[in-house]
Amino acid sequence: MHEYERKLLQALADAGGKGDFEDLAEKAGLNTGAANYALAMLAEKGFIRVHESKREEVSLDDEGKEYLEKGLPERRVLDVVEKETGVKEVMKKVPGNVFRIASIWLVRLGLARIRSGTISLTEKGLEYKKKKMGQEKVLELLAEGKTVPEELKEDFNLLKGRGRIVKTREVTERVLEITEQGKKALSEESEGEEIVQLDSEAIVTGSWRGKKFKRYNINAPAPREYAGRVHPTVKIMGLVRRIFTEMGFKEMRGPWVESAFWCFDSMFVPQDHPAREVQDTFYLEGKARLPDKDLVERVKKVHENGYDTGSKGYGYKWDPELAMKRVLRTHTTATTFRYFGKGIERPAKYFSIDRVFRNETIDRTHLPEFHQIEGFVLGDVDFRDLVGYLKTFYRKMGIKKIRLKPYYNPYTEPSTEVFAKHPKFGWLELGNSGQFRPEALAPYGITDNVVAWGLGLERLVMLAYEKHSIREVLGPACDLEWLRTYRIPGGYESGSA
Amino acid sequence: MVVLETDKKTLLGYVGRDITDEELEETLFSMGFELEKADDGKLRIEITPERVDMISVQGCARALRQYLGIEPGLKKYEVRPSGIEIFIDESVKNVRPYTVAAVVRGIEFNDERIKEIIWLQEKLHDTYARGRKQAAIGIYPLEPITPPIRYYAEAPEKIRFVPLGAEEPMTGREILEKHPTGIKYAHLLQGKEKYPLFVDAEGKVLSMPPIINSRDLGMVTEDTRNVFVECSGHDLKKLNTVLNVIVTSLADMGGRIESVRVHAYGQGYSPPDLSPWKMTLDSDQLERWSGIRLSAAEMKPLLERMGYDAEEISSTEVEVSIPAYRADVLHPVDIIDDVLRAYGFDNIPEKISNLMTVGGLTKDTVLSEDVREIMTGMGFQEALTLALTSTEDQYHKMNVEEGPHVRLTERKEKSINMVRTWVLPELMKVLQSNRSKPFPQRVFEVGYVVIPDSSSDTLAKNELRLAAVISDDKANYSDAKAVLEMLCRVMGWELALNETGHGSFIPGRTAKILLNGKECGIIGEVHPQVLENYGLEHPASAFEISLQQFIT
Repeated sequence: MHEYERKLLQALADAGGKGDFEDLAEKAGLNTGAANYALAMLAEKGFIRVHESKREEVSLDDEGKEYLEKGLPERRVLDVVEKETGVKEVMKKVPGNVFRIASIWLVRLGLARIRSGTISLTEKGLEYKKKKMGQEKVLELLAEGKTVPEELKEDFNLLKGRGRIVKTREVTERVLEITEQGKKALSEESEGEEIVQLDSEAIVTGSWRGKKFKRYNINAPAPREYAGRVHPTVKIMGLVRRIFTEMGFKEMRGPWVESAFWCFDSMFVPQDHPAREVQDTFYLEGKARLPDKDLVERVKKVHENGYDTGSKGYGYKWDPELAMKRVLRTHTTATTFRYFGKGIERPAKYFSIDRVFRNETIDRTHLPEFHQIEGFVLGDVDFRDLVGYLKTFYRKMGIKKIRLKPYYNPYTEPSTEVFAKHPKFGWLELGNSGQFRPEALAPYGITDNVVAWGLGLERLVMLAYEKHSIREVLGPACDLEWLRTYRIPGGYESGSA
Repeated sequence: MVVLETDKKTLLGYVGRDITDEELEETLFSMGFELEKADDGKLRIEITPERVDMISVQGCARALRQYLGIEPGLKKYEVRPSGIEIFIDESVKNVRPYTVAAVVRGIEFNDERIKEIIWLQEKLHDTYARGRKQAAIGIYPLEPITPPIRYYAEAPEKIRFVPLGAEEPMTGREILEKHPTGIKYAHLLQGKEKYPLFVDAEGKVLSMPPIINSRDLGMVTEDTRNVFVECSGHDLKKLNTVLNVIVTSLADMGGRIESVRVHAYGQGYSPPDLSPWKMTLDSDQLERWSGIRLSAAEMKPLLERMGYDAEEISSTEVEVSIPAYRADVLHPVDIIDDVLRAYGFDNIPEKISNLMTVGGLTKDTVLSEDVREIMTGMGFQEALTLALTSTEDQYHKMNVEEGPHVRLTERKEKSINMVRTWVLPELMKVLQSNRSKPFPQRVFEVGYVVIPDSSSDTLAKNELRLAAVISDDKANYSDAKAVLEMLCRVMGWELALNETGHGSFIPGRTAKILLNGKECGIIGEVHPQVLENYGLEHPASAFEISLQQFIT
C-alpha cells in the first residue's frame, strides 16, 4: 500500500469506518492530488466503498451581496415610512428603482397599501418595522454559508425567484466507507509499518526492525546532480602532460611578456621577417633588457654573417634596438631559447603547454590567444627522431595516422607541418615542427642536433570533443552546461601500458 | 605565405605535361606547398615565403618541371649585353641608394600575361620587398626610352610628370598628397628632402621610385614586345634576387634577357647576374643531420629534381650549383632540406633514440593540480578564460580605479586593450554568458595574470592566481570564506583576514587575505553595482589569491 493510501485508510478507520472524503483527506494531511490518488487506488483494491451524492450549494450573487450590505429594497422603504406617507416624500429618500421594487414586495407581502400617492402601512407592516423579515433572515444565513431551516423554505424560494440574488451550484459529496477487506489490509499494514525514509532515529532506536521498506519506483526521475569538474581543455592539457612525462620530458614555463630578442632574434628569425610585424605581433611600450653581452654578440654575428656555423647569415646589420622591443610572445619557442640561454644539459627533452598571442581580431572561430604544445629533444638525434616523437605523441593521443609536409620556418631546417587524418574531418593541420638550424643553436654553444615542435592544443581539444570553434573550448563564452557535463574523451593509448 | 592564383590550363601550359588533379596536389604537397581548388575552377597554391622564385606561374611551373623530372637540374638563362647604361647620382645615396636593371626582348604580351606580370610585381612588393620598402620594381616598354638613364634625387617641387592613373602633370609633393598610390606609399619618403627619380637622356621621367611610374613611359600594353625592368632599394643582394625572379619569369614567357650597365658611386656592375653560386654537400653531413645516408651518385638526381646542378666530386661529395633566384639558401642544411623533399618526407623512417632523461613537471603545474583537485571537490567548475581583456572589464565594471597594467596599444581587435591583472573580472564574464544555466554556479580558475615589474628583464612578470566565485540566490561572504578556509586547511596555509575597503565588494563584507603572513588576495561579497554592471541577477561572493609565494 502506498503511503498516501495508508494515511487515508487510517483516517477513515479512525473516523469510525465512515466519513466525508474531504474531511478525511484533511485529517490524513493529504493535498487534493495525493488524496484523489489514494481514493482511486483504495477503491480499486476494494478497501473502501465510495458513496457519491449530489447536492445544491447555494451562495449569494451580486445583487444579494449588495442587498446584504444596504438592505432589501422593501426594508429601505419600510425604514423611511410611517403609518401613512406620501410617495413623493419617500422618493426623496430612496432612489426610484429601489422604490419600484420595494412597492411590489411591500404590497405582495401585505405590509402596505399604495393608493393615490400615499403609502399606508398595514398592522403587519408596522410590526415588521421592528422585526426581521423571512427573506432577510435567509439572506444572512446564506451569507454565513449556513443551511436554510425548513420554516424559511418558502422565503428562500421567494428570494431565489428574485433575479441575481442567489446562485446555486451542484456539488458531489463523497462519503467513504471502509470494507472488511480494507480493515484487514490496514491491520496487516500497521503490523509491519513501511519505512519510507530510513532515518538516524530509526537506526539508533532499532525501530526499523520488523518493518518493511517501502518499495520505490526505481525509474522515478531524480534531481539533476552537477559535479565540479576541470575544464575540458585543461583535461586534454593534463593528458598531453602525462604523455610527455611518460616519455621522460621535463616541463618548461616562460613569461607571456617577452623581448623581441627571445621571441625572434635568439632563434635566428631575421629582423625584417613578416611574422615580426605589428600585423601579427602585439608590440608593447617600453624597452626590455637584453641578456648577457657575449650571447647578444654571438646572436648578432650569426644574423650578420653566420658566426662560426658555415652559414652566410642574413648579410644585414643587426639592430639591438629592435631586439629590445617588448612583445606578447607569439610562440612558446621563446621559452625553449630562454632555457638554452640558461645553459642546457645534454641530452635533454623538454616540453611546455602554454599560452601564445597573435595580433588578430576576434570572430566566431578566431581568438588572439591560444595554447601551444612546445617540445624539443637535444642529443644524438636526427630528423628520423622528429618523425618518431611526433608519431608516438599523436598515437598516444589516439591519432593513428599523421603526415609531415615540408614547410618553412626561419629557425628550423627541415621544417615540417604536421597533418593528421581524422576519421570525421579528414586531413587537418595540427602544428609545426623541425630541426633547429645551426645558426639558431650556435650562440648557445649547442653542437648536438635538436628536433622541436610547436603544436596546436585547441585543435586537439576540438577534435577530442568534436567542437567546431575555438571559442567553445577557450574563453568566458564557454557553455557552463557543457563544462559541467562533457563526456570524458576516449580513444587514447596513454594509460594503456 | 603567398597564395599563387592561376588556373590549371595556364599552369600546365608552362609545365608542358598533363597532370591529374590528384597528382598535382600530391606533388605540391611533397614539395611543401598546399593546393587549394576553388569553386571558380582556379587553383590556389600556398607558396612559403622563402621560395620567392615560385610566386609566379612561370616560377612554379619551372619547379614542377624539375621535381617531376621533365627538365631536371639548374635552369640556365642566357644573358647578352643590351648596351644600355644607368648612371646613379650621388644625390640619391641617402634616399634610396641602389638600382639594378635588365632588358627582356621578344615577349608576346597579351592581356593575361600583362596581368600575370603585374601580379608578380605586386606580390614581390607586398612580401619579399616588405611593402616596397626594400625593393620597388618598375617595368617599362623599352622603345620610348632614350638611354642612358639617370637615377638621381630631386626636390619634390621640381619633379613634374603625369603619373600612371592621372591626366595632368603633378609635382612630387602633389603625388604624395593627392594621388591614391602616392598617399599609400608616402611614408616611404617621409622626411626626405629630395625624392628619387629615373629620367632618360631626353629628360623624360620614367618613374619616381618607390612610388609610381610615369604614364607616358611606364605602361606595358599588348603592343609591347621589349621591356626595361628596374628595381631600386637599399640592399644590392635583395635587389638582384628580385630582378632575377622577374627576368627569369619573363624569359619563361619567351623573352631574351639582356644586361644593363650600372655606374654607381665610382663602381660598376652589370645586372642581371644569373650565374649560380656553389656549396659542397657530403654524405656524412646529410646523414648526421637527417639520419639518411646517400652516396654522391644518389644525391645528384635528388638535387637536380630540386632545381640544382650537382657535380660528383667524390663518391660521398657533391658540388651543388645554386640558382641565382634562390634567396633562401644560407647553409648546407638548406640543401639537405631540399634533398629530403625530393627523397620524400613520407619515406623517412621513424625512430626514437635511446636518450635517458628524467621527466618532471613544473611547480606551477603541480600546485595548480592540487588546487584544482580541492576546488572541484568542493563542487566548483573550472573555467579557462582569456588573458587579453579591457580596462572596462578589469577596472570600470569592477568599480575600481585603474592600476598598473600591460597596455596593448597597436591591436587589431578593438575590444581588448590590456593583459589581465586579475582573474575575477573574467569569471564575472563567465557568469554573464551563463545567466540562464542552473544555479548555484560555483566557478574557479587557476591561471596567470601579468603584473608590471621593473626588476624583470621584460618589465613584467607572470603571477599564478586562483580566483573563485559563488553565484546563487543567497550567496554571501560566509560561503566564500568557508571555501577559502577549507582550501587553506588542506594546503597547510596559515590564513588571516583583515577587514578592508574595495570597490568590487560590499563595505563591511570585504577582507584582505594573508597567507602565511603575506598579503596576497581579496575576499568579499560582490557589490550589487558590480553585479549590475555585468548584468547579473544573483548575489555573488568571491575571492582571488596569488599562489606565487608557493612556487618561487
